[in-house]
Amino acid sequence: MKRNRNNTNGFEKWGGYMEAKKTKLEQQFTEKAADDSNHVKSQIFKGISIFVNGYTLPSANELKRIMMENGGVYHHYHRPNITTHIIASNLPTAKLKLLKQFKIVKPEWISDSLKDGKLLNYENYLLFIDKPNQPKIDFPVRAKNASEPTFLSEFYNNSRLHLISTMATTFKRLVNDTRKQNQTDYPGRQRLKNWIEQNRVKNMLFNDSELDNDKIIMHIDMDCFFVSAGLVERPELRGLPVAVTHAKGNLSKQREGVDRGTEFNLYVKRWRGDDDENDEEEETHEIRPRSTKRDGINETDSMAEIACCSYEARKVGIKNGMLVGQALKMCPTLKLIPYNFEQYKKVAHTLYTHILNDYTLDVEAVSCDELYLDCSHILETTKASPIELAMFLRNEIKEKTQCPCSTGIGSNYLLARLATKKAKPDGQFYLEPGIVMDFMKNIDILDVPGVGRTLGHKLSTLGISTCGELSSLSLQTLQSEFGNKTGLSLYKHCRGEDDRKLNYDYKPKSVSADVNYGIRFQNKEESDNFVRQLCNEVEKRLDDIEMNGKTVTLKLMIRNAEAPKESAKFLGHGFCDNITKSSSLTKSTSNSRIIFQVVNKIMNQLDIDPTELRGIGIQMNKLESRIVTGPGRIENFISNMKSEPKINHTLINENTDNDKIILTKVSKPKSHQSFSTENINKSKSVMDFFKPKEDLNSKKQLKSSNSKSIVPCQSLVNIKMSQVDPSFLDALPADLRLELENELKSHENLNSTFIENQNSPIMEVTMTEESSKLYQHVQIDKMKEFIEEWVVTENEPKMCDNIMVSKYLCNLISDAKTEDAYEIIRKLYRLIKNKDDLAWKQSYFDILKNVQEIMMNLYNAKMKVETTFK
Amino acid sequence: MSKEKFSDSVSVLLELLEVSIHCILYARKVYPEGIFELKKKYSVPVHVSIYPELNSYINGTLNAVKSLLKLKKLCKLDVCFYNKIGVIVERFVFNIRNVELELNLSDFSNIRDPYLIKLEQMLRAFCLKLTVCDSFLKPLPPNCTFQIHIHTTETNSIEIQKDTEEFPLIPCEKSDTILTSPAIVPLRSIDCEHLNLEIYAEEGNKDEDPDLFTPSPLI
Repeated sequence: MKRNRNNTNGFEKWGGYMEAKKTKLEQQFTEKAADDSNHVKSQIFKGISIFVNGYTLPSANELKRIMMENGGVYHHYHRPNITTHIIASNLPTAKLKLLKQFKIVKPEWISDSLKDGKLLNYENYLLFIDKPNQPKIDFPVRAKNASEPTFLSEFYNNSRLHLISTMATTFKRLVNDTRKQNQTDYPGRQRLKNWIEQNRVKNMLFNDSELDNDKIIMHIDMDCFFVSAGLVERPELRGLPVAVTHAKGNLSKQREGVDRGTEFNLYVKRWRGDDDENDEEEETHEIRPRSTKRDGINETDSMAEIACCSYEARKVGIKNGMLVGQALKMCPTLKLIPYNFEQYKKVAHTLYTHILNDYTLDVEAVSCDELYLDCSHILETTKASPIELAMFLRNEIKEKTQCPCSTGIGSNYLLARLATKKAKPDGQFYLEPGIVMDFMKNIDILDVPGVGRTLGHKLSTLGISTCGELSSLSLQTLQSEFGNKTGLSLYKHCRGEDDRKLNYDYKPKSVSADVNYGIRFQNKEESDNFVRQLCNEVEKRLDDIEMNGKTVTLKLMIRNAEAPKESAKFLGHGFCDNITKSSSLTKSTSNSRIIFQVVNKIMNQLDIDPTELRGIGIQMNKLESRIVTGPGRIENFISNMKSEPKINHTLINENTDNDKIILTKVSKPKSHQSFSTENINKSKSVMDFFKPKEDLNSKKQLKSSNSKSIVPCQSLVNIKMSQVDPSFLDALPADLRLELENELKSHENLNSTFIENQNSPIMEVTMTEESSKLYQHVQIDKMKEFIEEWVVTENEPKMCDNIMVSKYLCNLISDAKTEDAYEIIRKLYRLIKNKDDLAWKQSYFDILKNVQEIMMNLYNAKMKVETTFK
Repeated sequence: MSKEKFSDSVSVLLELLEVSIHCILYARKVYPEGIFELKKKYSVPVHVSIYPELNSYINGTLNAVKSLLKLKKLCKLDVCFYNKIGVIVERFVFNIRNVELELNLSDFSNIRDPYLIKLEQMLRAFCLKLTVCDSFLKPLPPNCTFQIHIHTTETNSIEIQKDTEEFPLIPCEKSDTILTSPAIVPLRSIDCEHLNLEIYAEEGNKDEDPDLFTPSPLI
């Protein structure tokens, strides 16, 4: 039989036979179903095609008949995309995995549907249930404590405060960055104009609101941000009392060593202060926020705090920061929702970009949900009234973010803020200049920024609880009572005056990393490790903002001697004594190793039992921007010596041949002659005597700069692992070598953008020029002094100084003053040994490497120097 | 001063070399202390050998040095120490860069240091440095020997042959002068109008046990 090749029946393709078979079987099925012998009973399974896998009850044949009689389709083979349901009562795991994405239904679905005469929801008959619906076994997850190495990263991943604080920084930077773009087009203002034109006619009320030329500041604050952002994805909870917390509910077993009673009493005692002079007064004020928060908590209630609660919850008396256990008692129907940081970020980002892009760049970010903006410009260009702007803006924000916000408008910070308080929830309030005095009268003194619990308590003992009452006191009284600064600000604030300016340019004043959760150390080693990690975190944060700090502050929380061993809050810090100690560095840094050294020193001085530590914080203050880094110490010496300003500029040379970039600092003295003054005084014959020698020098330098080995600056600028003499590494003790290797590796990463070019003449000329100047004009004794001052006063060796020193030494050696070089190296060794700092040791070896290279060249032998720091 | 006319610089250097060699031998303790006596040189006490054989060796060598210096053909002078199996373990190198032959010390007008005050200071410092050099170096192994090596060219060695008939020079092998993986301890250099030289010590690995290299008595 001759096959007709032209007649394609699908057999030719790969798998074509099977496909054809399946189609044919289905065809046969439908034909049979349409056949007269088939008694169609119903159409309940219309649109359903099943494939039976394995043994079932009713059997596959039975099912086939049922499908045939009730409008369904039966597949002999599983046909993905066509088969709608797989029927099985039991599946091996291997098959289960294979068929996971399909609907696998128990045969009872068919028989039950048939019984009921209608198609039942297959979901109730699923053979296995998708993960989310599957009941979970909750293993008790042990909260990690700080002695574990991954604790810090996990802590920062979970910490709410950390995220919020970094978010605030993020938005401050966003404002900064956006401001740099110099945009001039604000589409929002046009929208506002149009909107006003449409509404003015109806609403002539605003027409006459002629603006005084004072600044108008608007404060925008999202209403219970965490809740409303969380409800974007759970609209069904709107209108119910909702609270955001990380706790799941109640009922934790009482842990060992926990004694809440004692702990609360200690808090209360501290809050009352140590002045027992007016005890009866204290009694009346005892029920203050601090104690109400802890009211009615028994030993097993959840100690998690409510981060944020909806206005519905606030109505029943629930407050932010309240403990979940207590809140549930007050409102059993309270819905607890978890944090949803992604959502917060999204909403906050929308809010900020909307205002920055569409309205104004004069924004001061306070946090992710709170910002101030100077709207004088907007009002000027749009001729809108503050209230109109507020209404329009609020609507837009609500539309964009689906979250309500409140805005307060006033002529300064304080008034805008207080107005917002009045506007909440979901409203706006313009504190017009005329009504300020009346308005301020009834403001609770605790609402004034800067008035906290302590100050509030002090004021209340004076019988003052509102701003109105406060304004009756004279400036003198206030200043004598609270100090000059606080007194003056109180005096001004209670009158609604506030001369702070909006701060658009975000410049962090300090960077810190604090952990006071989960700090439980067994020994010093554990605490040291943790502190080291914390230092790394600080370094990372400094790197993020590209700044260096000059003061290191260590904040420690030590368990109070009277406090119970275990805190009431699981792994919390409990009742503690706080210790803060600072240490200033001579030079700003971000190097975690230096920070650690300083911190470690303070820790050792304080002599603290690591097991009693409950919180550690490391803060860097006096931040300096990294971009403007001054010249190195030894370079400074030279420039000081020269007593005339040096021009420093960065020279970027792009070498197109190699596509490498050279970055080097070039220092040009204004005149070369300035050095020679001492020589000029001498007779001419002496000068002549010098000449041939100098020529010799320069010739040697020229020679040395041509040969690769004697150009230390290059290898120093960017030492690669491969460039390090292996024998040098081998000579080091194992631990130091490891440290060094790591250091080099990290250095390589650091300097990856800093590509040097070995063939670059510029680099060589620069360094040779600079260092030969140093060599020619600094006597050896002077140089020794420089080096001593350099090592003793400098915290971290600068690369350029390293280069300078090694160049100087190399010059000495090539100029046959090897014994001077030898003495300098010995001195350097002694100084660095006393310093006991890895960075310095590294710099010693860097310098040594260059010296030994030139020694090998000239003497065919290395210099006998110390190669270990023992 | 000898009747031969030669430069003042050469005699200064010769004197220095002589004193230095004595000092080094004393400092490195290759001879018993008893063969040295204290003498005053450059206003400082120095140890000088009174052992005739040793002195004649040193003088014989310096005689050859003198001849070479006149020709300006002395590159280096080494004092090498060998352990008991003859492996070099340490050497002191006098690297002579320049000896000003034409300079006449009586020509006051052209000299920076006419009264040789600076030169004497340098020489004094040099000697003092040598007396403390043992603090920079590891002690020599017991039973050491020493040799003085003169580095010059072959032509010159033939040229000075007639001067050194009583004390002929022996060419040395390369392995006798080269240390394995040496470490340099720079000691001092003298840089003035008459002289320019430096001295440094080279130290090899002294810790290797020489007994390991002695052939087995069974073979």
